[in-house]
Amino acid sequence: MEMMEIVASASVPTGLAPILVNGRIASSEIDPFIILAVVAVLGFAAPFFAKALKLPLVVGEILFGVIIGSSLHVLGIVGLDIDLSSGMMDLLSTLGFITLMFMIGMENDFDQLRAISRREKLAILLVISANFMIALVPFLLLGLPLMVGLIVGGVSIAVVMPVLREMGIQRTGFGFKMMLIAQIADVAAIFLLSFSAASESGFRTVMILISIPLLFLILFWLADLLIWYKPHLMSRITNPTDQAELGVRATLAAVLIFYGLALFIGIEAVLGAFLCGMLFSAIFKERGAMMEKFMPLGYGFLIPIFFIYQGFSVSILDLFDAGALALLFLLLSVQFISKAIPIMVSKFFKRPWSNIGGSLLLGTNLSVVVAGVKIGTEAGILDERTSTVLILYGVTSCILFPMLFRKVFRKHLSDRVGAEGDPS
Amino acid sequence: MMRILIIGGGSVGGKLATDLRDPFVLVESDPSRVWELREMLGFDDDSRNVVHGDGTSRETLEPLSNDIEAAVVLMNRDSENLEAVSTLKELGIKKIIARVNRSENMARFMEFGAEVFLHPTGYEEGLIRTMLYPDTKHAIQIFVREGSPAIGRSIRELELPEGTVIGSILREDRLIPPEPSLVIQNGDLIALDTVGSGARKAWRIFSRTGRIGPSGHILIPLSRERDLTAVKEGEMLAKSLGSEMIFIVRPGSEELLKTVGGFISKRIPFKVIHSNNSTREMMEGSRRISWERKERHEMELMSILEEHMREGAPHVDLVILPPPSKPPIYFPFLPQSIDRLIEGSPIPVLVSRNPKTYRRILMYIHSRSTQEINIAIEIARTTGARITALYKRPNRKRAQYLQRFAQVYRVEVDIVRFAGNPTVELIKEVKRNLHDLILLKSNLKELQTSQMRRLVHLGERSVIVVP
Repeated sequence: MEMMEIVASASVPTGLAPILVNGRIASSEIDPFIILAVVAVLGFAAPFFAKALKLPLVVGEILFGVIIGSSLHVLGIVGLDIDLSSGMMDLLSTLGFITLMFMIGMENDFDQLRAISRREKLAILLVISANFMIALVPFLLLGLPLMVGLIVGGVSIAVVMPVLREMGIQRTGFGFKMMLIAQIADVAAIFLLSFSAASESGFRTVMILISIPLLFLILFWLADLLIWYKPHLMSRITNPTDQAELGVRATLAAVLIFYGLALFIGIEAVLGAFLCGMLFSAIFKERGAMMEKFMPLGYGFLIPIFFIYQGFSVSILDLFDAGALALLFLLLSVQFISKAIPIMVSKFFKRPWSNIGGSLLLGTNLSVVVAGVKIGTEAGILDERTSTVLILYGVTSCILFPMLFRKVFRKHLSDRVGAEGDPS
Repeated sequence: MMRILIIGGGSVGGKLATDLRDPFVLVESDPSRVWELREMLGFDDDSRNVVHGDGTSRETLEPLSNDIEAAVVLMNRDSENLEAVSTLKELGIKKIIARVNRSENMARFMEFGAEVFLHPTGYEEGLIRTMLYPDTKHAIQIFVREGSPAIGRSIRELELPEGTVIGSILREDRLIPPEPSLVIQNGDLIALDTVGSGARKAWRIFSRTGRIGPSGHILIPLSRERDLTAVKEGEMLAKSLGSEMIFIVRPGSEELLKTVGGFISKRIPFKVIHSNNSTREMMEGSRRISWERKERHEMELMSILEEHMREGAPHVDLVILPPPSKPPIYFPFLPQSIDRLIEGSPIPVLVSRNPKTYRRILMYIHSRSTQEINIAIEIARTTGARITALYKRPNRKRAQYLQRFAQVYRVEVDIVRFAGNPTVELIKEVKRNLHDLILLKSNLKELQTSQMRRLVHLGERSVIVVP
């Protein structure tokens, strides 16, 4: 319905001149293409902004969004309420998130996963389990919903991966382990959140947990059969020079089918995109050409929209509430401590600076917060104030922790990577 | 970084150690020279980098051999050097470079897999560095052996890589000026100056193509009727390559051996190994390969291969296995015994399906495909087959190398560039059914393991999987 309104308003030429009604500008009254143009310009300017402030690009994009969002809130206070949210932006932001999760799934390297020892695999699982347990305790003691602890136990692979990628360390041993922890913690948190909303029975939960890997294996087998029996078709799909860009079409279709499938199964929909990416990485060991097709569209357009748009939803003005500020501080502290304790105690990485840096970067939390707040509000578990603080916390964690990580790790990297090629 | 062991701290060993870029351990038998070297190289009096000891003794070398990737043997006598090379080989050092004082001893060193150079040359340190770091080599010596494609060709016809100059040719103790019209002969010792990767290419032009060929052996286990396909293909290959066949016969398969003996050509030499190892012995025999969940057949085969290599017996170039039976529904995710054998074998494995002479060979070129290129060229050269090589743009230099190599050996080759996914493109080419033999590298990052397993289990053509 909202989309229909937008399409209608987009066709009205007067959309270019926003109308002031009782001192407010309603979103439907701004041409969505103007909003899109604004975001596109912000997306273009964000890398320069991030570079000027020596911030990771993702952080720059979110911070840029926060500044714009806060400015609009100030304008709202003085009576000029401009709401930049729109159906089209929601759609593009969701597509950005889907693309990001798909590309994260594609980054998976099953060969590398096989190469790590059982001991390391166990250590990763222990670190993640300990993280969730530590994260749950303070909130249960304070009488806050269990969901808040689960949200804080999460890690945003959506931020971890671009930061590692930007620093060129995503393919090192350190980068691989970080990605692995972040992916598992992210997916586990979203799963746990879906189930903690308690709309499903225990049996259904178990069935979902069994059906996903089973479905994954069946689809992998079918794709494998397709390569063997229909190599000409698959060659067209995987050929980057195909005139009809069959590969892009097939991939987009697959991602959206998975997205829909996840909705149908009853798990968080972006997990579908992530699983689709994982499936692609399992089927095609060499997927450079495929990634190259998606990178400009993803990192150049859709993903910045997602990050900037997340920033829009936050206002610095919310920080002026003492209770909210205290909760925010608690959330950020628990977020860091729940990662730092297991990593430091187990000496997960060989070098102390890698342990500190790793704990800081794993402090980022956005996708889980976005999903958790959505699930929690829909289920009536989270009130509006807690949801606002949680969103604020998610965005702050994505600004603060990557900045600290980069600060801590830069020198360490220049010392270590130059000499040994791997900071782990 | 690789750790290097230098045995012999004379003038050459000392100079080599002075400007070696990697960590090293130097063994010297003369105590006063040890002190001198420690002082010269700036080490403490109790340094473990310069060690006093007998370079031919296992007691000295074994504790030093941990993490050693290359060894340079520079003692004065050939007999000492040969003893050291043999001990180093036993200790599992892969790269051994040895100084040889008398040219007639070179072949004996080479039998142990050592890379050799003749003393004195006047530029030995440079030569050793060249052999240690092949990518930055400046000068090399090549001993032209039987089977080299360069024999009978003039220097002009060799098409040496750009920047490569032949310095001198030593033929029967006579130095011959390298005129362009000079024809290369068996036993020539050629000194070359090269730049960049030219040395490696020159080496390939002069030396034998690879691990497959006349001095090698083809191993064929016999236990079932199906194994006769493997025997026929093995016979065809042995005849073309001039190799000898070794049949492994398990208890109960003696009748099969009689059948094999009946139809195999009398001109093809073969020998038989009767396998009756107990499981325990087999486990011990295959300890070094450290496989888990190995099945009896694999263990037996690997155990024999191991024993064969350990005893310094004739080198096994290739193992030929019969085709596995086709299952009604195939799941490539559950590796079967043959998959584990192929994926873990230290020797190329041929899954036999075609006993006739090859006409076309299909291979996939990747960044490190030297061994497959050597094998493909050797088979194509001896069987008259044509090679189709698939490659992706980043590996174009390897493809050019194959093309150049093929020109030298007068092998016909089609180089096919593709842009898509390597696995898909390879399967597409396989499905055209134009090729009799498919040559692949095992556990290759670009190729999907499940599809490679399908080729082995469901394919219609012979497949060689190179480790």
